[in-house]
Amino acid sequence: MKRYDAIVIGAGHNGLAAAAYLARGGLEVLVLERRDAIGGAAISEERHPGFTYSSCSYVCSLLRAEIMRDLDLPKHGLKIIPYGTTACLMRGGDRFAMYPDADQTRREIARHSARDADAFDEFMRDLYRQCRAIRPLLLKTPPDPTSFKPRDIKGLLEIGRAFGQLDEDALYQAMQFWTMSCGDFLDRYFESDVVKGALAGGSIIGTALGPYSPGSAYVLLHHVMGDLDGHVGAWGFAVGGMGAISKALAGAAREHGAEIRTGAEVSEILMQGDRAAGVVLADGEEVRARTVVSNLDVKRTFLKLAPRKHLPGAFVDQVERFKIRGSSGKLNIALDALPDVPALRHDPKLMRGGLNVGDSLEYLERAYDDWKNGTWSKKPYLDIFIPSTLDSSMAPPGKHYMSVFVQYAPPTLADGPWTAESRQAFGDTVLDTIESYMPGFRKLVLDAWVRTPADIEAEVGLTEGNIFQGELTLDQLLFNRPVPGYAQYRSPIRGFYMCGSSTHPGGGAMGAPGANAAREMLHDLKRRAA
Amino acid sequence: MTTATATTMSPAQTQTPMLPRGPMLKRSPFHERLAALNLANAWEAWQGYTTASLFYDAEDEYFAIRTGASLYDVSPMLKYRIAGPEAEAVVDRLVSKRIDKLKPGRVTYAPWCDARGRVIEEGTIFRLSPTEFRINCAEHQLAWFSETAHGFDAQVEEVTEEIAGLALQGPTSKQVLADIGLAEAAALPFFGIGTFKGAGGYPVTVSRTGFTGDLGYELWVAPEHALPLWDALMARSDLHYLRPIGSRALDVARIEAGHILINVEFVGARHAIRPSQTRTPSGLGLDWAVDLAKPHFNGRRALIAEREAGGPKRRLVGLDVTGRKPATGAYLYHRGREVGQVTSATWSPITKRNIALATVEARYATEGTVLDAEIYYMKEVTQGKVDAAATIVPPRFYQPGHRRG
Amino acid sequence: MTTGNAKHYDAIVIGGGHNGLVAAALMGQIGKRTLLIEASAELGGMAVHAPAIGRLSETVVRALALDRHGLRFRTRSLATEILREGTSPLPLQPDDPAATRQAIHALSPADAEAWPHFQQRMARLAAGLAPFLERTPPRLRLDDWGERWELARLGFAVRRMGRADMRDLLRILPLNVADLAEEVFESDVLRGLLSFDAVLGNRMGARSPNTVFPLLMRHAGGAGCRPGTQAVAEGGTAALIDALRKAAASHGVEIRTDAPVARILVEDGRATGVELTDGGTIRAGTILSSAHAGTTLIDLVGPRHLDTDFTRAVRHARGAGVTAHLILNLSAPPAGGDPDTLATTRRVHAPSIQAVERAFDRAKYGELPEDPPFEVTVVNEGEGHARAHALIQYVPGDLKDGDWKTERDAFTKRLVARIEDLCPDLAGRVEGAHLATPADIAARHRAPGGHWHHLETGLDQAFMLRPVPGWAQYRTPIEGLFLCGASTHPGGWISGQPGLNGARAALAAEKASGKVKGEAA
Repeated sequence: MKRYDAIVIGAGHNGLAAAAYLARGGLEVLVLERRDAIGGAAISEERHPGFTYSSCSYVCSLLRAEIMRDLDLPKHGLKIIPYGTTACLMRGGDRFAMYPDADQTRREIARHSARDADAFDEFMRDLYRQCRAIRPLLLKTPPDPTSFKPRDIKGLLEIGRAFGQLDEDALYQAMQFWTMSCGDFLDRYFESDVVKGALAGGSIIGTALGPYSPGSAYVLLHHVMGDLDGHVGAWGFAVGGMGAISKALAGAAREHGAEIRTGAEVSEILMQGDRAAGVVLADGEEVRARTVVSNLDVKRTFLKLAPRKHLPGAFVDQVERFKIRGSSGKLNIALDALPDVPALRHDPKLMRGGLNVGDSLEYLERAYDDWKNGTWSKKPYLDIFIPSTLDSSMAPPGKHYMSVFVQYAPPTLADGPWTAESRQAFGDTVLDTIESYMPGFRKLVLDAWVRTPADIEAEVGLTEGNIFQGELTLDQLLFNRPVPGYAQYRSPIRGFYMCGSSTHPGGGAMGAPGANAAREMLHDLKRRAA
Repeated sequence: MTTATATTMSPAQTQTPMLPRGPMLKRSPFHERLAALNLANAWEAWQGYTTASLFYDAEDEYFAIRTGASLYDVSPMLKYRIAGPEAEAVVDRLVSKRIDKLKPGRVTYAPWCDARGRVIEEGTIFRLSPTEFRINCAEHQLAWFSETAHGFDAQVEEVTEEIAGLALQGPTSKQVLADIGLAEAAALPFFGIGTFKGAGGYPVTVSRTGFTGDLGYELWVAPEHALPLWDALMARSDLHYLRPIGSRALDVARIEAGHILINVEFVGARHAIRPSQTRTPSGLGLDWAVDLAKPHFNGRRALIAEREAGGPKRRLVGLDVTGRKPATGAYLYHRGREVGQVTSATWSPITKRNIALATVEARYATEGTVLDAEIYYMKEVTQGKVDAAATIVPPRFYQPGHRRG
Repeated sequence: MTTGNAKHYDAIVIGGGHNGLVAAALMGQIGKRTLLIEASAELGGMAVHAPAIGRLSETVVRALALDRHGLRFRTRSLATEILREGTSPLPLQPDDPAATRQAIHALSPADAEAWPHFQQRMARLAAGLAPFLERTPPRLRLDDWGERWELARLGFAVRRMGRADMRDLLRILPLNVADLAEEVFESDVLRGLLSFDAVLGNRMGARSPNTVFPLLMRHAGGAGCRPGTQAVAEGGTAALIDALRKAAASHGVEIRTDAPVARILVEDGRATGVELTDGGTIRAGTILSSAHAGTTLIDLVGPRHLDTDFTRAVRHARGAGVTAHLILNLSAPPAGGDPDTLATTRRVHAPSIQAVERAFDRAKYGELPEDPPFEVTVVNEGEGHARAHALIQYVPGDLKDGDWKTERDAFTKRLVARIEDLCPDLAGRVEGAHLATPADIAARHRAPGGHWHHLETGLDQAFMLRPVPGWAQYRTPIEGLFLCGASTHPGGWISGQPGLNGARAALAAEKASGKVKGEAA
């Protein structure tokens, strides 16, 4: 019976990235995916005839350039094109747009506040400074601050060095960034509600925090620290939808010899003594391997898959405490034609960029209050994107595919689980919200696929439907992610690893957890061989 | 806006191509005239405005500055009005020169710094009245000025679009002014300012200031008077060798004059991502514009500490470079060790010398020190390299006697 | 050089709150001719809003030998009664673990188990924080070996806690208290109590991250505390203030009340004295201000003496308070209330995390909550007089709709009714009620925002970042002017530590400059 060097559970983008790196390192790798298609949450699906949906994640920026180069993803068909603009649609019919051109952005901000137009440069400068310090840490294994091992001390010094390039003022700012709320942070620079509201969107996406919750400033940073073609904070769109990223990663993995099996659900981890020795599939088949790595979130991995008796009780407690909170919903909409957005008629190019609903911090904070009270936001924050305006393959000619990310929606409602009726009502809330900014919109809807956090959990397997496989709060970052003492991709079970977004540096279709985990596994295997 | 009209629109509206709509850049009040003269069709962006790089021949334009008179559109320059009973206190807090000593009708030049003494920017300050100032500069400063004015009885507003500006520079500029009925303005003392009515009958504010190091004035009018002013000036262009110039010609003149330029010689403290790109006034050779004996101003404590610690680590110097290749971006070496870098360089047509501005380690900044400059230049399609000797000289390469006369 | 007052001082301390008193007493003790000036008629400052609690730091008590000046602690530690709708309160008595356990057991056997463990855990972790709370924070100048050494020392102090506790501390420090409470307890009232203790005084909700940090500060102990408990001074905060006053007086500190400062005199970048609102000026080489950082620097010094970046940072320090103080005059002490027990018992109304969070969600928009959480302490003042002090959490200083002129009476009535409802022993005894909203506190103590701790004690405004980044060492850009109030590290809670550290910083600066300031004049 064949024995693999490594089995990867789950063919999400991190699992595929790990597989590609492991195979590239000379290992025999098998990827097992429960569903019939690979990609996890980075997936393109035809759910309505002629339309390709980026069913879950929809844009990218964080996918590390190093990974694209290491795995030669463009050769495997990946094309990422930047989209330059975002426009925040305002109640009352106005808008606030941001352009790739600094002068245009400045003039647009000045329409709302002349002072803020000037403050914007300083704001971006401060943000970039922090990004420059954090970015080198993304593809590093977090050091254990309680350890005296040379490797961990070195890692701590590396963090010290990354931040050491900052001057005293910027270091304090870094401390504040990691602890303060996005709202308080923005209040220091800006006076205009819409400027603050538009910039704060990035601080709440995928997060069970409001813009005034301490810690949300970091989430904002998490969303701007990506870069595309060297432009920090630029966002891009993968031609063919987010599934194209998974496809390219799979292509790279296969090229290096990895096998990928779909429709192969893992039901338990096979143990040999205290070591992981493979997996058992749902149909009873046993597959053996020297190492196993899980792309699933940490709760699914350790509370459902891994043998409990091999895990220390304290570890299980910590996993149970790990916060994976569902807070987002998604609508994929097939449209008969491009909707009319009166606020953007002056510059139709803006239709090809991001469109946001949520024009003040209070709007976003109140949306969060609804989530805390166990219901979806009655006035939700929406991150809308119409991929078919950039990529004609996404929809039939003249028709359009619209992706609507919705913040906030709870994993279960205050009065019980989601039902067909409540899902319908949630969808209506979102469609009506859009209609109020795009008159006539609802008449164009050919298909609206409404997904609650519960749906995302059921289909994709993300606990609570959390897009980051775990909240990005300070207590769950770096050496605390996912569990203090287990932040180096190893689990308490020898030979069993984790590579999902539950690990450092977290979610956002970065691929970094997969790449980092693969590096640690290769390191261990080499040591064992030696 | 208009939900009512929106609902009456059919999806046919979506036929509008999703192309960007402009304009990306604003046009200055003089644009119509400038465009007609710009045979080279050479434009660039300056703070959101379209501005001319050159009109026909940069060399001809340059010699207009040095031997005749030149007109340069400075409308895109940022202008701020600070007014109110405590406006003087605000400006005094802001800049490193004594503003309480600046009389109405006078102009001064000064840098302004952050708390660490790093230069945010520098510019000219017009004292229009006891309670009204105007600051002209190249970068946006509204947030900083407003913050500085917080707690004072003074208002800060940007007035860039309310004022059209023309720099009239060159040895014959005095006669040009006199010709259009502004003889009184032509008699202004160096760094004087006043408002006059010329032949056109509309008010023209004239300051005896400029960026060329030559005799010159800057004329400020309401946008609606921009074209009449232009036409009046250009009607006499041939009498006084008056030419419109673009930024290329101006840049040569400003290097000759030793004027520093933000984002070239240094990065403003509010925008620098890397602190190493910022400079203190001393580091930019602006000690003369800093009065450490005056009561508190922004950065004073840090600047005193810098002086006590022996001054800045790097200083701005002028370089007299051998050969004819402009030392643009050249690294400077002392006995094989890199000690500085050129920030601006040009061949100086009036002094017939190869000149440059550079930042070097303070101990090499003394006059007469000779450094080795590694100059790269384009040899048709390949890059050539020459080593030249660069002698440290005061960064004032051309100082005509008529400038202050 | 002095006008209006012939006497010359080495040091002037602005503000007669506990921190000002501590600073003045220490200056006096070292032999500095010290004047303490207080704007109002009474000493005590904001401490009057915390009539029974307060955790004076052990270091302060020892440094000033306060026991010799009459400071005594009650033998009974501070106990908590959790008020419950329609049933008797749940008593938690740190001095009687068995009784506490039994009381909780009736509610939840699991929580009865968890309670003592949790208390010990908090005490251990708080002890780990202790080196941070007592010391002057270092600056982040990585090119300075002295600062590097201090940072390394602090890092080492944390590592000394042991691996498990250090991991625990690093994880829960930025956590929100609701998550912690849900991890540890199953009963709503214990979760509610924990939430309340974490947020009281601050503008945070139970679900706001970083709320475990203030909870830990609460557990940091102090003078007279047995491990895991809180001590109450005999005679309450008033007695504490009195002991401080006596200590100061014994060292020759002169105290002037009713003397509001109009401005701090600055000459060539250094503080030279103060000008009072009555026009008199008093000179001294060292000025220590225990007033709010914004008041001291923006109002009393003025922006013209300060850098724009600095005043901007001071202006943006968050200090909008949401805690009100309601004083109830009682016609008689509650029946059967032993004065000692009464004074060492706080009654808390915070029935659940949701109740706390709901009230917060109203206050954050400037709205008045329906049923705000609160704690009440009854003080038997003898001779048949008694007062109840209620600290009402989530009362905004600025109301979005209407203003306090119109809302005050109705809101006060509502609060009194709620308190009488939940504390039957007080029902019918309330003769008068006085509400001090954050707006009132702001006006009375010249603390913009009316925040209890002057500035919010969130992680983003703690330690090296308090009161503003780069200026956490009690000094200010004005030479000779020091801060020594709750705006500075470690903040509020009546520890006296800011006063002590501030005075020490002033003395160190004097030493460094190599001259005794008083002689220069």
